[in-house]
Amino acid sequence: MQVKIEDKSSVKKVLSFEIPKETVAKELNKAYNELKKKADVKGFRKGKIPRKVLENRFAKDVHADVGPRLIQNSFVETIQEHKLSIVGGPQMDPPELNPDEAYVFEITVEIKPELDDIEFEGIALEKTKYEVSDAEIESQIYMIQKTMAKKETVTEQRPVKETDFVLIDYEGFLNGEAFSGTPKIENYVMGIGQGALPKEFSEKLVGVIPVQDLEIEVVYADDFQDEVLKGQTILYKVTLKEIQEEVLPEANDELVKDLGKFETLDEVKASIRENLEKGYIQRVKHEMSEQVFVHLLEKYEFEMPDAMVEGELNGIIAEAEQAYAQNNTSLEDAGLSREVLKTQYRDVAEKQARRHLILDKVITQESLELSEEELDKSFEEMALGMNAPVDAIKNYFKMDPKQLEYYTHTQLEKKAIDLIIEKGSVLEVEPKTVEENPVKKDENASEQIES
Amino acid sequence: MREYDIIRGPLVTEKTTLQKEINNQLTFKVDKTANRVEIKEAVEKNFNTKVKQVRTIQVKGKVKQRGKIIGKKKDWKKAIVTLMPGQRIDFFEGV
Repeated sequence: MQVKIEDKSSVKKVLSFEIPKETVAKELNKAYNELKKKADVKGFRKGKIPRKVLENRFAKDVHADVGPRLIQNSFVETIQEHKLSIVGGPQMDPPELNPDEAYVFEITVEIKPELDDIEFEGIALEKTKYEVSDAEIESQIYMIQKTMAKKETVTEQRPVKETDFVLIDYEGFLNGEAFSGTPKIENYVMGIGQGALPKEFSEKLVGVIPVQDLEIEVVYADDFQDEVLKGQTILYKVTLKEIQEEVLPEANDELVKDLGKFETLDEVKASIRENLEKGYIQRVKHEMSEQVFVHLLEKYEFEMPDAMVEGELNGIIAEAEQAYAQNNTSLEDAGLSREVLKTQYRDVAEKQARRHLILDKVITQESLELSEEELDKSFEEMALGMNAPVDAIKNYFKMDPKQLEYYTHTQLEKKAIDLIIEKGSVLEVEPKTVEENPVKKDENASEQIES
Repeated sequence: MREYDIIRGPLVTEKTTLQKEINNQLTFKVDKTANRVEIKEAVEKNFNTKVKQVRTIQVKGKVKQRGKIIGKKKDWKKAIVTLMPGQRIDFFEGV
């Protein structure tokens, strides 16, 4: 067998094979002998069929069997011999097998780019010193207060304000007659500007002093979602009975007890602080790993095989499809298609693929390994995050070794990132801007790191 | 009768392949009413070759029984055609 390897680019190679006639004949003989034992042809006893008859009847099948086998054997042999690490599927257009000639064919493959050793020590990194401020904690406490707020009746005589709640009775009339679609409702509490009632209610009620009767006319649009009401003009007779105000409970130990698992306000504050700090740690780590990649991607340029980018791209699209499927919609409903996404996310996919390659290289370079304990620990963390028992997660991975391998690899990548950050020269800087909601993470970016 | 109606098809079995290789004899299923002369002409015309000799056999159809129902396969005529030395029919190669 003769092989010629031609470099199209540093990641694309064309392998030209020439399998000599003798080998082809030998393989064919073998196949026909095998077939002779099994084939059933009318007029002949089993195993007594002449080669000629077999060739005439089964040539196509035998060639379809022997051809790919020859290709595969020689291909595998070559890959092992030259230690090529192929990514994606090899591309070829198999020619017809001719029994009297040498079998010549070409295979185009993409190989994993060979990276130089990566120098990752001393990368200049900026570590933002985020600190949890009291204001953030206060705002969280306020959120709690808001959810625990109670409504109290206003006794003084004053007009309705936009922040108020009102207690009303109402009944809708169609053409002056009581309408079954809008029966009389009594003692309905509605927030001004909120709730399911039409917005005309809020508009008309502001500024009115209780107790008072009002008439509100509502014209429902033709495309209103309620079949009974759409396109109708309904006259509502409304009685404003009283105004209610939202009263925030005081932030003290009493309030906190209602939350369940806390005793004092300080405990809650501590817990909020802890959560915020966790978020910041994550965020800092994320920011630093972003910096690492910006640096490394700039420093190490290499050609990317299309197959790898394509693989990442498919992963991204599958994820998107899944996300849409969970909301009971599809890409098409959102006006997207796989092709659109593919062009949109190509850059992202390529970057991701490059990251994986760099991390892979770091992993082999530093011969990083994941110990049993580390794996167990990560399972525990995951269990905590998913609110599932650790054993269930372990079992899941035990059932599916492929998943486990994949998971181990992502953990290794995380370890590699940690190592790079650890070895980097870290400069602590003050946060640049104070953001409104510091807990909110950049979902997209964190996804990229994890995947 | 036209010559292409006479020959019904080749008969390929272990025995006929052997005869072909050793004696240059080809075996056909032919029309029951055709005689040796007609078969000779038909083979020569259809396959563009020279025939030395034709021998024919009336083959009795097999009696097939399935339960009480007794049936009989059709009788047919077999023709063993010996070609002139050196002559061959491509169509027959390994059929």
